[in-house]
Amino acid sequence: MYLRSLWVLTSKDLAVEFRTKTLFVSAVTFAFLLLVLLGFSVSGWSMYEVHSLPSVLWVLIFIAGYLGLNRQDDKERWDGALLGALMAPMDRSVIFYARVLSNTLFMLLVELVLVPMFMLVLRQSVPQVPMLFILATLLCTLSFMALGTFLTSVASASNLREIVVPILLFPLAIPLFLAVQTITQAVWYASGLGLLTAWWAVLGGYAVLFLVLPGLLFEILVEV
Amino acid sequence: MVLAQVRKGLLAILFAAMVVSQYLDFIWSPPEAQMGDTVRILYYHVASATDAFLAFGITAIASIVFLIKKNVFWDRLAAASAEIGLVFTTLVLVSGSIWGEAVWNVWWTWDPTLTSTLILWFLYVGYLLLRVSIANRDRSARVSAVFGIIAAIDLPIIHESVTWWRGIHPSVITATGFNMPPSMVLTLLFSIAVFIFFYLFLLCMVTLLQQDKDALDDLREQVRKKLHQLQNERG
Repeated sequence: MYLRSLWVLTSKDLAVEFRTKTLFVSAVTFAFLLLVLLGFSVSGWSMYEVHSLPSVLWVLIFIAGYLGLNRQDDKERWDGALLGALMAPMDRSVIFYARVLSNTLFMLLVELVLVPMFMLVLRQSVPQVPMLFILATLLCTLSFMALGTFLTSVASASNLREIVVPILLFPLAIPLFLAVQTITQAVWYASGLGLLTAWWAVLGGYAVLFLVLPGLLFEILVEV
Repeated sequence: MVLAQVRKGLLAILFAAMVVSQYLDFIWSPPEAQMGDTVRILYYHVASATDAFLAFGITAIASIVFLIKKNVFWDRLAAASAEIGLVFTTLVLVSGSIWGEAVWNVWWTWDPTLTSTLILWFLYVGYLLLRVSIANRDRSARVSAVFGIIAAIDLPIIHESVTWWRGIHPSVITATGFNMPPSMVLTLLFSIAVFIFFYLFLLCMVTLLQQDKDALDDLREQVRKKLHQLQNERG
């Protein structure tokens, strides 16, 4: 029953997004624009300096991800969609996990477009250890979306939502950012792979922490 | 009336302790061999940091108790403590930056302790913004309590991760004890004690202020309702 409810809510979010494509198009366009601006800034850099750029990819992904989260939250407000979900006879944590799942899938699609564009615009080679890069991307995206989804719920009643969400989200996501950018830099050029144990622990730990804890606290947030 | 007298008494003790603390900080304690008089910043810096961590710890504990007991006193205490903690964190950052310029020749460096203190500052700016931007008081209290807990859980992870990233911050207190002469240790401990007393005094004052503010808001609401009722009666 739990999994069925989860799937119904997730597929509802995905169906709405596949029909309108507003989130996907706006996030990709925005990230591409940032990428172009970054391209202008680094156009005079030497090949050696350009070598340190893979970690910058995550600045673009985090900003695009935040944009997606904000739009998703707006969508939940239209037509009282959240209230409808709250009235359904099911565990309320399902609402949180369904949002995380749909947001993560949506963000992975954005990354699927953004990473090749990043390699083209900023003259980057393909990651030398692609499987580890994919694993880090999956873990980071899941953790960031879990944290972001939870914090958009935290700030949903705030009348300064657009300012409060990034102020809450980005400081809390700093360990995640440090971990994923260090791992990305290492797997992109296959150097220092043996020194990443602590960073993998941060990625895995964040995924567990921000999937379990918000699930337990979500009920308090949506209490009417 | 009694409360006002207690407040005056506490304020007098605090003032006397602060005067003694200034004497110890600026006159009695010796300059450090390498840093000279710059070391005196340390007495404010470490004491402010102690207050900041104490304040955010109290915010986290009060948030948990609020969610369990649903008593508004704990919410006021959490908010007051976060507000004071933010002021002390600002002092930590400013005093650390001045010390950094004198000793490291830079106003800012990406040292783990500095970086995590800055992140802490952002987190509690967010916490206070969140509180004031939610109109419904009950919801604001619940949401802030949840964020207060999450922030406290995440703090050690933030600190550890930035430490793995890079680290140059000096440690005056280690597992082997204080790395400084006894006169400086005494001055530092006295400063910390005075700052903790100052924090507790402020906490009482700000919590009471918050209580008065809530009472005033309730009164405003009653007046608004009464005016609305009178307007309706007059058509």
